[in-house]
Amino acid sequence: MQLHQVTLEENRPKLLIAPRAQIILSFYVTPPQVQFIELESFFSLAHSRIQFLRTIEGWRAQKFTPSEMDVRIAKLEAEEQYAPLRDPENDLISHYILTLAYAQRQELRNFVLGNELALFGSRLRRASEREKIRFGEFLDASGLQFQHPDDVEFALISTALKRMEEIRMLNQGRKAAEAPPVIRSRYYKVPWQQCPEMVSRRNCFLWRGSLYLIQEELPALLVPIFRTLLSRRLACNQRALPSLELADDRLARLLGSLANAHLGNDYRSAALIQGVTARNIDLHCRDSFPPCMRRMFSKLRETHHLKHTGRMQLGLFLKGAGLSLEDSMQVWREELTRVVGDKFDKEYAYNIRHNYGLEGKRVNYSPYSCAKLIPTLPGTGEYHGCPFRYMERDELLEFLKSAQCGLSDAQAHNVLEPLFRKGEPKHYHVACRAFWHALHGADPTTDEPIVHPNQFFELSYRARHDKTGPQQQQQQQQTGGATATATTSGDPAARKD
Amino acid sequence: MSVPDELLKAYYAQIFPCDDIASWLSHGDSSLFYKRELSYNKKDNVIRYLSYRDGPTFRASLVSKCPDKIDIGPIMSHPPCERSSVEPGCFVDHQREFIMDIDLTDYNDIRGCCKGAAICERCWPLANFAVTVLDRALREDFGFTDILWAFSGRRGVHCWVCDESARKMSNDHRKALVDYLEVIKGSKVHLPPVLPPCLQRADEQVDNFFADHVLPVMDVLNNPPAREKLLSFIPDEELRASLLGAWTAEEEVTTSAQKWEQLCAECASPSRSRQKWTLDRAIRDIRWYCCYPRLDANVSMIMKHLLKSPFCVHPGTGLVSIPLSARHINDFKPWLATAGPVLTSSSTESAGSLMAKLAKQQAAAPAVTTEAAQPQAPRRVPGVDLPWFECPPSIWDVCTLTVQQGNLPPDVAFEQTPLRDHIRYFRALIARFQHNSGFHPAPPFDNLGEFDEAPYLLLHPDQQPRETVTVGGPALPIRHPEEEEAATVQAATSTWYSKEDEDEEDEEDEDGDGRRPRRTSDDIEELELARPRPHKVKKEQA
Ligand code: SF4
Ligand SMILES: [Zn+2]
Repeated sequence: MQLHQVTLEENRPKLLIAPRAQIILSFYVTPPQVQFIELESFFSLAHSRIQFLRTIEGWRAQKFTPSEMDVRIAKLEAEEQYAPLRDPENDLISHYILTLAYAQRQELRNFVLGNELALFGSRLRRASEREKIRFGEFLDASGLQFQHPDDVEFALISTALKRMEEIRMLNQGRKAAEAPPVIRSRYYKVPWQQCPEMVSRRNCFLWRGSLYLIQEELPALLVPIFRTLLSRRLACNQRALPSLELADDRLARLLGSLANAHLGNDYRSAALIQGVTARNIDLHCRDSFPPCMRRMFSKLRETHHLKHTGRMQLGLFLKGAGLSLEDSMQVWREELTRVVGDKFDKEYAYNIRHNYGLEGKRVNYSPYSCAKLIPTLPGTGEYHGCPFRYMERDELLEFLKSAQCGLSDAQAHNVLEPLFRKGEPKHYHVACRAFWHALHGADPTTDEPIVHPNQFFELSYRARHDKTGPQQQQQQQQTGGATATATTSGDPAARKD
Repeated sequence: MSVPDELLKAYYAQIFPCDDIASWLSHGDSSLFYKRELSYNKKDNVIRYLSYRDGPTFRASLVSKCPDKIDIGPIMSHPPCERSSVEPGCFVDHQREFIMDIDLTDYNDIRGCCKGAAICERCWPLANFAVTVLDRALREDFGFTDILWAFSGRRGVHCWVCDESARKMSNDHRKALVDYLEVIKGSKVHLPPVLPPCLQRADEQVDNFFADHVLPVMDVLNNPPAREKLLSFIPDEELRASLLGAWTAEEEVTTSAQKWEQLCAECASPSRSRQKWTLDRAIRDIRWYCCYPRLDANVSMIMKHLLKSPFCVHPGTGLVSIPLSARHINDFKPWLATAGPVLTSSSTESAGSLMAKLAKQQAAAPAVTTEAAQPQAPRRVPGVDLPWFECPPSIWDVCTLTVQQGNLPPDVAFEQTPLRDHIRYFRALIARFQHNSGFHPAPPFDNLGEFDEAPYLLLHPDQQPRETVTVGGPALPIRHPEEEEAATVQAATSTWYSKEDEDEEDEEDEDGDGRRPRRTSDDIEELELARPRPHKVKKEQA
């Protein structure tokens, strides 16, 4: 393992652990000092961390407040499956592997940056809240040196600092007289550009270009620093990776597989799912499609056509759901030729093969995630995008209760509840999860939020598969074609029996 | 009125300080001027993405294109004139002074005296006050030192903060700075219940300006639209109605100061003691609304914004955008400025054919731009009949006095004009900016190599490099019979910098603790007031 090759940072002490709290706080400036690490553990550490960050990503998408986030992350850290990550050394190693493996592509870099930042921020808040770490030590250890104001200037500004303290007390609903004495060593002097947010809010004393922060305010400062450091490291790794891969092709393969697979979650291919065919696809649609795909698929069946974006979104979803190229061709040809006739073979077939990476740039395209679907709004005669986003309340109700979804009135209302809470943004993922619940009469087996239509499908597929057992499933699929159109309304949970 | 092309051409050829502008905009690195975006306005045409290698080529283009207006943009990654050869996406802005634009039209709802572009002695001091407040905040809070203020040519002032750290600010930093300075947004006053030291300092300035100018001179409370707007800050419906009724009845009978006293007394009356907290805040908001600078935030927040060059001639008024001094801003009285050709007996006699022609052209044009400059008012030329820093000269003043003497080279010609001292002052300022930027201490985060953008920290006052720059050139010849006045001006100019330096030091000590002794008791009162009821206030806001 030649990790040191890609580390362009100097050696610096980097860790400070609050022992009782088990909160690891690190800028990760020093690469891990490992001589030898088994590929096995390398992979499993990286895997755990990716899982961990994916969970955080889902929460971020749901826009939890920082304190809600903290509670969740703390709980997640305590989970048994993440026990290895609680070791500081492993924390460091897994972080490093991720910054290596995910350095090559922009979206992966953003994934690491956004979620690592959220994790760091949460750890920082928890650590400082419980006052279990001493900031001076942490700062010294991380190579950041903040100055204390010197005696002369401190004498000049201490009255103003006192006033800031008093205001802080008043804002907390306490008395101005309770303000702690102004002591020089409690203050750190920081150039204002390091923390523009504090300048905007005027809640910290600014004098001659310096902010005078007290210890408790330093966390606000460390997050931007962490962001800078991490994005730099990712940029460095991006440049250094090709040479590293040359040096060790085993490592290269591993990193590559980590990055490419996104641990199987980009649903480029559906290795886990078998038996989705042109014949039983309607049954799967009834049982397991998320609302967005239901809408597109049923519109395809109904009107024998879909506009381009819809064909893209549905086509890739079907590929991710395990429909083979041949079956895909069959489904699309069946419908589209009724409207476009011969043009199908000339124009549309190309697009389908393109989706499967057999034409053009020959890229195996990955299906769209919710994040990509949600912003696409359909025009007239188009049905793509996320119904939770583009439909009004009444339209949604009708849609959910229609044959396309087949929910009861109560279920439909349940699903819509997270979308129309007063004063809150629409929680699409929560609604989608509620829809999943309505379909299955139970929650998905994992806590992960639903962030991808194929994830919705896979979770559903697996739930049914495990429940009914492979054979029954098989049978159901064989007979399913006939019954698929028969039972379209009523409680779908009841249908399973 | 528009400025005749001949006149502009003569101005650009002989007087406009191209070399100084180039040296200012290059901030010590002459290659930067070539990367600076300039833009010309000619009638309604805008020519953007111009750039020139140095002062002389800049002058040549000015003379040939003769623009009505010159705007200055950011320093780009590549010379803007070569941008077609740069890959798209690579041509980006690199550096930009932090700029601010204050325009009196933003104060229209409280100035009853003038409409639109006009200014007078009642409303202009608002702009001067804005300069005072903002200059202080920029220097004391942000530690900037290289600040250039300029008259916009008609009804506003521009600010250029040229410190290196200011030039290298990202748009995020600019936004933070604007948020910090901005209090009045969309006709609301955004102040926290208890003022932090920086706002306390401004509050004191506001207090004084309100008492010294807004009430006695602007007479706001006798201006019905303004009065209504101001009263709307008072939350108590009944009080508001009763005051409005009383004041409308005795419109001109009582002064604004008396009305204000009445308002304060009403608010302080024991029967309203339960509302005292909110009423006090309303009174404070009214004061701030009348005085505090109103910025055009978009100009400041986005690097790409263009801003008019100093020494440009305003096409509407013919006045020159002269640099101002924040320290002497209260002496600046642009409403005294007159435009139109100078036709004193002596100058008419000796004027050459050009001036005769111009005089004829201008005879038809109105010779007045601002309200105060009534035709019968005695004509006064800044730098001749007025101390030079009091008032912007018009292009007619500037050119009449030179053109008579034929084609002088640019570095001599300006000496003969009313712009002489403005250009000298500008030169001295630039020299000082460049001197300052030569003394940047090392970034404090030396050991954190990752922070390219790490700003420098200002040195402690004791370590601050001492000013050594003084106004260049020999002692100024005294040209006016009123020797005394001119002598004062000269004294002011030649000792400008050393004096300013000492002042600054005193001032800093005084402000260091954030308040003056006079205010201490008030402060305590305010805190006292705040103490028992923070919760209640929050509820009221909700
Ligand atoms: S939340 Fe995602 S999976 Fe659910 S309907 Fe919307 S886009 Fe489809
Ligand atoms: Zn006026």
